Amino acid sequence: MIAPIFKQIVVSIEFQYFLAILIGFAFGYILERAGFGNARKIAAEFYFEDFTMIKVFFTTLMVGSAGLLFFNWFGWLDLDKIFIPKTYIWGQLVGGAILGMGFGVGGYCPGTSFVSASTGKLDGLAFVAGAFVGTMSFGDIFYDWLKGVYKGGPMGKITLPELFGINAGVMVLIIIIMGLGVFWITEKVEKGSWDPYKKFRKNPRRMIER
Amino acid sequence: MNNITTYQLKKALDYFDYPPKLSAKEMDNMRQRKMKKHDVAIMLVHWFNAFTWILMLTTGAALIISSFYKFAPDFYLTIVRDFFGTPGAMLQFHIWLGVVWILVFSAYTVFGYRKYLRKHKISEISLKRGGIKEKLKALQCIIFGNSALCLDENDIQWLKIRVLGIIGQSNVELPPQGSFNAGQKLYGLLVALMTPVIMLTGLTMAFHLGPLWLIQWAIPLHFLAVGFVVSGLMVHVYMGAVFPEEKPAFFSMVTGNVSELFLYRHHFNFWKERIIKQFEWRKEVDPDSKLEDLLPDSLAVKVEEKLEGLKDLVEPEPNRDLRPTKFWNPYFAGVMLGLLFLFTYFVYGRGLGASSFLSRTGTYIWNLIAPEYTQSNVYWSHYFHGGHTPLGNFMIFEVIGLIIGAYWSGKKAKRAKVEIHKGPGITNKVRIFMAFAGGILMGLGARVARGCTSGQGLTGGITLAVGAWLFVFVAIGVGYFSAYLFRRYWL
Repeated sequence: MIAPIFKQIVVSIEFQYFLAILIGFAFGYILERAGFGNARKIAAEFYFEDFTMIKVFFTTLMVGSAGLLFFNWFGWLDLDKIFIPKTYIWGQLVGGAILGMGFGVGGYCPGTSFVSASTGKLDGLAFVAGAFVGTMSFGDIFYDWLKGVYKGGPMGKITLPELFGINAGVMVLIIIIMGLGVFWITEKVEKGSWDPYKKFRKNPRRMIER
Repeated sequence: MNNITTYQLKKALDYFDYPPKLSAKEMDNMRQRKMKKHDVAIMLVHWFNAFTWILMLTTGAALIISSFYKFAPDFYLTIVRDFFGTPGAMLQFHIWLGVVWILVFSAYTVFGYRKYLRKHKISEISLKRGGIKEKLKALQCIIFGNSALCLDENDIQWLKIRVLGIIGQSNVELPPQGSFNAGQKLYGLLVALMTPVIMLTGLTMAFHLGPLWLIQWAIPLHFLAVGFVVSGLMVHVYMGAVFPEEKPAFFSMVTGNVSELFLYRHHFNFWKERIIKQFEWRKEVDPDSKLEDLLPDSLAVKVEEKLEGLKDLVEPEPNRDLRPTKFWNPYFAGVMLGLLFLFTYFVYGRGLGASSFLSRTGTYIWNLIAPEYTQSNVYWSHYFHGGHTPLGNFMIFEVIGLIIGAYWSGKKAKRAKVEIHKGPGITNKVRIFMAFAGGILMGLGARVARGCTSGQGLTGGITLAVGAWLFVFVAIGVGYFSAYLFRRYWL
């Protein structure tokens, strides 16, 4: 097991931070190139116009989860030493719901708002300011109220294969099949004429640049 | 000369594919004039490369002692080895000279990179255009970094006729060639491809990088790559140093200069470029000088004839495209993002995120203003546990990089400008207010869920964490609901 590399060998903290900047650079570059600096492009996903967001999201999940699995099978990566977010059922449920509401209102998520703000979009900048206020309000004001939710339903570092009692490879296969299904549906909807928001549109559909 | 523009002269010279015949006197005059052919940097690199290759080949041949690969006679091995004292000293010499060679070429590559990019812009080489054939051509042009060196259809034809001619199957005239003929270009491509192979396999062998099988494979690959280069090197040395007609080329590598006649005959296109440069300069210092001062008389007459027809030609405005570059294909972007996550997991054992940048910088600022409150706050205090500081974290530097990377990409794609994205039915003020409100919800939600779309959704999703997948489906589901509620603001 040679990876995670920085947990096997001693690397100076300065180099770790330097590499973090480079990784962040690539992250920002990819997000911008995918079109996530544009709130309309992100929001278009929810109005059945342009599913870029969902396509990128699921492709990343497919490549990433399959990749981790293969890294482990090849004996490169020690899965016990990587960071796996802890599961708190109520925390993620309520948090996900609040965040999901933010999608419709603001049009960005935190990462994409940074992208948008740094390319000069004022709405992105306002979103970042709002996200800062929202973030700080959690610790300063809402923590006592939301404590029960935040720590609710703790399950620790549990993964889907452990939950369902199946092999991780099977789980990844299910995810890949599900992802391909999502791609198939989204491509159909994008190209097809089905449009539940038809009567609300001021501009014809597919105004968003691809 | 005053009434001719540079562009017109360029077009007029373009009529001549081959150098027109000149009288003996004109040729004599041309021979007297010197023209610059190489920069000092190019000459230095060339001779550094030449001496390094001589020393590396000499020691390298003597280093091969395994009976499987050995080709040099024993007495040669003894001579070279005795010169260095011990075989170990010779090996050290070979390795460290190789390292110096790699360093010099890396520096050369780094400093030459801007020039390289500029050349691409000028010759409009792009991988994005055209069919598979054009893409292949662009790819090999990019490897060279110089459009004068990439193979085109003429070259393929040239190679075909040349090879058929050698075996006596064709007597068709060879098509016109640029400053390098197809054979030279082909060799250039070979060297450009083999040099990295030589460097990498050499380093692998010298410093035992990687598993045993890799080191074992590096040996034949190293020999093979060197063999390819040496096969062409013989022709190169013969042409440069021995072949009488190419003598000026050899001296040009020492002085940097070459007679105009040589350029005129052998590198006609390059000669045209120099003439245009001289023309621009003359026009500035002495507008009254005539074309005859620049060109041989008989040629000047011919060029003037052509210029007559080009009198009204105006240089077209450079076609500067202000439209933004197209977005990436979503699947491609997803694969790139997935690979980036894998790389981060492989190196750090963690994923990427964004939202905790805000909480960490916020905690840092709060701590500056009110340290007692911040460090005793139930939630913020966890950033100080175990002697940690809020800013001393991967996430801080990653988001700094993200901001730079996004700006860089936006700038390159012509999307970095101050504007507001909004639906058609609302004012800018409403949009800014909505974005701020949406931000508050996102910031709060991301804290409750312990991460945002990237930190929880992607990072947790890839590791198959249960909570992350729950989060993803809830966030997307509620997103659709919220979008329905706020449809007036977007549609």
